[in-house]
Amino acid sequence: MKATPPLQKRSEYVWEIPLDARAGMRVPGRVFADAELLRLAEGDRALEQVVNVACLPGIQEASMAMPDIHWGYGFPIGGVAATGGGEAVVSPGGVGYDICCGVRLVRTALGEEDVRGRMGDLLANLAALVPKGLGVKGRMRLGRRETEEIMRGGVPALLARGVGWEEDLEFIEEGGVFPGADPSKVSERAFERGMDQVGTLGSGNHFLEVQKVDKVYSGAARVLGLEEGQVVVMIHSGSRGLGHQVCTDYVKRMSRAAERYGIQLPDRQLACAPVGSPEGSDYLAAMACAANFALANREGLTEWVREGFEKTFRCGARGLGMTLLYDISHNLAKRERHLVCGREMELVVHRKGATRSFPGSRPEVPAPYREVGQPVIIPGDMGSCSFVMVGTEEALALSFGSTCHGAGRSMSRSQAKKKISGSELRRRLEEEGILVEAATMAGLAEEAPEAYKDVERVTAVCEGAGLSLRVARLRPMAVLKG
Amino acid sequence: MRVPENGHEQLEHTADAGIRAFGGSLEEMFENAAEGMFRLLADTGALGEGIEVGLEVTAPSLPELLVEWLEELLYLSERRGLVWKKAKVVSLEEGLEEGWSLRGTAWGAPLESSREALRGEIKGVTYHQLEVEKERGGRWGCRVIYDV
Repeated sequence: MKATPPLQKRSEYVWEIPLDARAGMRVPGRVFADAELLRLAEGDRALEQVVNVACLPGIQEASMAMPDIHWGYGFPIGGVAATGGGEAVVSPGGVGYDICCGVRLVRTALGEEDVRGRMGDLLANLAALVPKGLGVKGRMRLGRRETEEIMRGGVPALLARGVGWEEDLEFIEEGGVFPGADPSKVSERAFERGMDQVGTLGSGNHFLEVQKVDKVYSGAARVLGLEEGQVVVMIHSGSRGLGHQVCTDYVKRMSRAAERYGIQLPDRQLACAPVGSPEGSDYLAAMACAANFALANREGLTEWVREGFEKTFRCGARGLGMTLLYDISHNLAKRERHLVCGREMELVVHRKGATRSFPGSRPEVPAPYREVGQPVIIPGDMGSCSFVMVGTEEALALSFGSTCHGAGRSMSRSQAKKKISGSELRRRLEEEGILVEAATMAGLAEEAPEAYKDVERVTAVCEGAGLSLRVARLRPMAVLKG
Repeated sequence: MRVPENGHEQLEHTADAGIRAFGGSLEEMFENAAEGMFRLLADTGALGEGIEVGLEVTAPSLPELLVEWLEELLYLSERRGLVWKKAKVVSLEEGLEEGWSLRGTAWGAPLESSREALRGEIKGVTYHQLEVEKERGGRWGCRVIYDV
């Protein structure tokens, strides 16, 4: 049974679910959408999930939904929940199974014409160098101690092994290493699942794309080192089996502890525990391990991408200008300071399928980008485009500095597979000049453009609402799909 | 409610994947739930079953036992590099102290020789809308949503 909660229009792109929509809500719901995206959100149970999240102990201001919101499990995908004060809880379900899943964008000094004729070779080289697909092991064989070092030390620990570039660190969230990681809070199983997977793409919606900048919206592009016609590489992956196991372990542990803390929840997948409790602080320490692992994973993938370009163009990656623009995740719970009703508070900001979107005034933003704001990288779907945006002051005021994370699904995976065949999709994309290499054809069909909302509309609504501003649009030239 | 022929069916869910499974007995429902999950992961008809692995799980309640059973199968397939074709419940009982326990066996094939049959990945078994219930007439039914 579907029951759509009542919505009140606050402005063109902001809708509120009032506090009295259901008993147990501690804050109202706040949905960023236009009429069309709202219609899509009402088509599944996402808004009901916004209401459920509004019941979390310690939640501040509002349970928020970004314009790409869709039905998740427990939390909606595209949900933001900040908890603070004495009652504040942390919820592993508010981060998701793929902890620190995120995107990075690597520049090149190449133009479309430099790459077009070599694309077949380039894609073949990338496919040979980048491990992808289910159960595929990484090129680095790490033992337990080395895996522990990555969990504790993130990207710098990978650099110490001779993989990655020192100058990337400044352009990775948290400088490449999340504080507070404690591998003793990570289960043996999570270790086992992570050990072979540093520098692997994975499967599902994870991908690597060679793209070209096809439209520039503002002068901010120059500050970010982007111009029309330039070739860039986007990498979308996460913490692999390690993150999945950390989430599994802690949802279980917290769902069994909730009663002890007197926490009653409308959905068991919202399982949570007070931030300062053993369950809460252990989760944050384990989550930081998975986050560091994810950052190192994307740095490893970048190494293989640089290698693929070197092999194809017979030139060093530095000579090819393959610097990192930014690396940002869209599945995390982070300790951040924000104004709540005019008072500064320390919060745990859960972003599940939502991207941090800070203005240049925040110290977290790398110095070279302070005049334009933090880069927000929005992967679209294979057939259309992706976006580079920047964070804003309005986002700080409206959404604890958060914006969308992608197009957002509009069709279930099984529906997509029924409607679209992988090989047909591949032919269609190739007709449009997009080369595709995929681990499985069924996996390809699941990610068909028709299965997603229109990313142009989603980013336009983000911009209209003030959550983030468009800087550049990127079109795929070649896709490597897990 | 209509019972699907093979005892399980896929549910439509925008972001994720779900299944409903049924059985004349609890054991049969657990087996069908596993098979439903295996079919999300691979074309099981095209798989071999030469490798046999035993497993044992416990949980304080039946819905949690179902999650444990499915999670254990996922973990073992990832850890051992296998793709499952079928699973059987050897024993399923409620103890006095430790709650529910289940012993089972799963059969499958090595991942490396089964790549053609793969369909997708499951990241986790969720508690969202999790249900195990005995329906009127004695039949068992369940619902599970996965993060894929």
